[in-house]
Amino acid sequence: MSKNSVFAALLLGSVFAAGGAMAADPEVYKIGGIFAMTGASPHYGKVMSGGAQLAVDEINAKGGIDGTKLQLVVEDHKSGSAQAAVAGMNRLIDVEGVKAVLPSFSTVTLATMPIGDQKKILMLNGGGVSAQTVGTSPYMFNIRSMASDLAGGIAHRAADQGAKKLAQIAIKSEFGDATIAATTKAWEGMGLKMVAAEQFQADAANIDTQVAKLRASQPDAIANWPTTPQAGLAVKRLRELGMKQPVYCMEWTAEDSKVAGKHAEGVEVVTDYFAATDENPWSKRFAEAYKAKFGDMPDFYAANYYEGVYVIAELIRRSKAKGGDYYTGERLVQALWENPTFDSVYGKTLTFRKNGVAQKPVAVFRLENGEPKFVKFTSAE
Amino acid sequence: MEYLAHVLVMVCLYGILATSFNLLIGFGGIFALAHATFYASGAYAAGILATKLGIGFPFTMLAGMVVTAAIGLLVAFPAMRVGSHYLVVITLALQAITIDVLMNSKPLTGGPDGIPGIPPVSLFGTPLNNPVAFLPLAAVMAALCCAVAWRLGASPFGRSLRAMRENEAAAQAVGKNLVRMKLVVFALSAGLASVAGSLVAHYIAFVNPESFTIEETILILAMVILGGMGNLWGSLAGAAILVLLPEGLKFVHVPGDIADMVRQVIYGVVLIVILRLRPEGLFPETVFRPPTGAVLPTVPANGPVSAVVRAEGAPGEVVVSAKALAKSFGGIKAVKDLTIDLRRGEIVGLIGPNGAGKTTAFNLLSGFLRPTGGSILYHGRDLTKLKPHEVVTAGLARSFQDLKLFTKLSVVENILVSLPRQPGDNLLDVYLRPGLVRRAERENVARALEIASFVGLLAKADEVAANLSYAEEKLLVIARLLATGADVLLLDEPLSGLDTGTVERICGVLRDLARANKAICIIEHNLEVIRGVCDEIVFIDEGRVLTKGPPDTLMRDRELAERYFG
Repeated sequence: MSKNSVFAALLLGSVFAAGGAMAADPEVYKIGGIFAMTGASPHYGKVMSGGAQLAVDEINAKGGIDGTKLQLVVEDHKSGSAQAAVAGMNRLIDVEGVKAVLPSFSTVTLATMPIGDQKKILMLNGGGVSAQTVGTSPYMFNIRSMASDLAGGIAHRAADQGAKKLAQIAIKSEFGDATIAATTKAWEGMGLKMVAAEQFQADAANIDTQVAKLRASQPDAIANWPTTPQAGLAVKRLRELGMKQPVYCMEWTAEDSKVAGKHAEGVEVVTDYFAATDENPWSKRFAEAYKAKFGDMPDFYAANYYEGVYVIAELIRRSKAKGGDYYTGERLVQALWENPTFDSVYGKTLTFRKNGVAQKPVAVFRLENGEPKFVKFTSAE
Repeated sequence: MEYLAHVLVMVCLYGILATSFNLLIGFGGIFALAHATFYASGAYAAGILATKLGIGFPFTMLAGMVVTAAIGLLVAFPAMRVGSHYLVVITLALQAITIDVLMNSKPLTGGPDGIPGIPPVSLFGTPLNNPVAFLPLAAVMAALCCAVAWRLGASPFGRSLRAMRENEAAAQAVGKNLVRMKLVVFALSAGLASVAGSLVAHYIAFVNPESFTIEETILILAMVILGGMGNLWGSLAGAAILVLLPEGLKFVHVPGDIADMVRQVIYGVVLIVILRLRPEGLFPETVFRPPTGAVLPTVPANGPVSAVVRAEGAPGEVVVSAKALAKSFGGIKAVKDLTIDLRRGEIVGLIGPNGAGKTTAFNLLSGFLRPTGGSILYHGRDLTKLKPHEVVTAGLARSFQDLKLFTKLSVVENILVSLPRQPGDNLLDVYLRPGLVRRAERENVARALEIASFVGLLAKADEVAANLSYAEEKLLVIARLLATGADVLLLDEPLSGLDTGTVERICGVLRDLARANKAICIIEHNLEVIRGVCDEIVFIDEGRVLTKGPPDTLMRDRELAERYFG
């Protein structure tokens, strides 16, 4: 060995010792998903895991990340069991060795968040909307607009259309509570009057008492917060009981259109609702691929977890480019804050704000013949 | 490692839940499906106290136990009045109310969002904030809770619970205070479940309503059933299997988004197969068998009268005097103006056609029915308003026409459970004076074997009552009555359906009891038997005494013969 080569070897060794060298790639980049695969709401698990898996497949088809494939590892939280979620989170970290997890449902996210925080695992929620998931851990991020964002969007839309008095109806759930509180704050913050807020049980088939109270409050517009299929049921009963005021929803699916029937016409949906548009080629590619694989058009939950995987893949890519022991939760978070803007399947980009919540365009859709038609983007602030 | 530790922590917590639930349904036979409510109560007490008042473990746990035991007492009240499916419905309603309260009391419980940020348990300044650190605490608490449950289950109180489960009326008829027993077992079971709740709250650092729904109660119930009702080892095994099995199935690769549903199907099939092969669970209930070397009875089969506690007092003395007893059910007068005296050393035969009011008379005398008129004096003490177990304690015990044996208990347990004034029936003695309970138990076992020997059942002492012949069952009924120590015995058709040899055997026992100065009253249709053993016959019809007198005299009465035989 020449003197030069000895010197080069020592230099290389000193670089390794200093930790500046590239760590070995794992065999596969495992991304955890904690979804409602069984229990009362397996529909959510199906679409969320479907969206995430599609993204993994697409990235792998293009060679993964510098040749290393991604793998989605799904754990079942049985539609909201904190204990099942914690078991799944521990397994993902300890057995599967994931560095990033996609939780779903607010309570599941709240239950697993302390573990993610302690183990320094990046968590990217695309389902729950509870404000309690915001700002409590440096490893917790939300890729779904929070209730406060959507509520702000609806408040602006209703005010733009001349409403002075707003009434709300929601399911008795963390989602319902969060949206009512956020909308009340946004609406009254604009100096307008909230005249009613009614809630009913998630499995209620008869909501006439709540609708009658809304009618008695004589609002100018109605904020309709239930999720599928009660969103459709509420619209149906509001109209059948003679209320003709504008109705704004946060979620609307094909099932709601079926339940509401002709009464869905003209209802507006203000949300980070996913809709494939010609202006956004990625959205069309995603929608077509999703439909080809699963037989249905993707909803915004599928879209959130689909782009969640793309965000994580991009973070791995950026972190790897920086070198060193790049595949850790800390490094992924560091990579996010170095540039918190990512391409969004919803159109243009999404940007993570300081509280860890991604700011995405909040869009207004109007239901025409049961189909959502894009109207405009509105302010969420 | 942490994952494995987490799974083991959950085995410990569910072990606490399953053993505590087993006390209620496996031992007590109280089918109250609200165990997740008790679990939730402990968890929310810990969550609220820790996050809002800054109180730490173990004070959160102790407070949770007190609150939850109080809730258990509240639940026990409907259990006093209703049983079986009615209790199931009531407790399911309680479960639903619990979730509603947790969902709607937002300022206190956090509503649907639950309570996040519950601080971990801290021991000696070290926070137990990961599964590996928490596992020793969970294991110690599980061992303590199981020891508390085991001590109760293995005590005379546990035996009384199992007797209550087998037949509440019979348990009352041997002097058990069911109200007290139900209150105690509800409070203890709830308190233990709350320990698991408190631990899970500090461990997961989060509680929410969805974790305590009816599905959770059903899961714990499945653990108890799978392991074996009435066997606490079974509950631990059931908890371990139902926690480990689904986690183990996660390692079974199933492609596609239906993997978890397929795993649930496999899980269900495995449970069905286990229960098909072991219908009474993995660890069926064990019966008590006298230990080898137990104090052997000093009397042979059908031994002398000394085996029976001789009643004090002069033969012929009136012990029970019922005057003008009446009982109406709405407009129907089942008993009217029934007057009867029972004397020491005498056997009275109560006869009459079907529907005459004989069994109603027994129910009135033994406190199972409260008379609408008249009085019952026992040594001058009014028994009219006493409850059945108080009547037995006073000194009057009865048997039932349909026997009402504690069928899953052994012969010696049937007798043991009927012995009065056992220290082991007192919860404080069970936990605080184990030596006293152990000594008393040794003496009671010897006493029970003596009584078994007296009625000729010594050879069957460790046999389960369900396996006895009909004649042996009748003998066991008498043994159980004897064990109560009562000096007035009411026997409802003790000889019906028996062969001649057994009738003679039981008649011999009855005569021995009379010689031991017991006052005895029997309901019997076999007039030859009545003639053979009774000192007096009381003939009743339409709820009143038609006539009374010596058997030979009454049996010559034409009017009686016409009424009786038609």
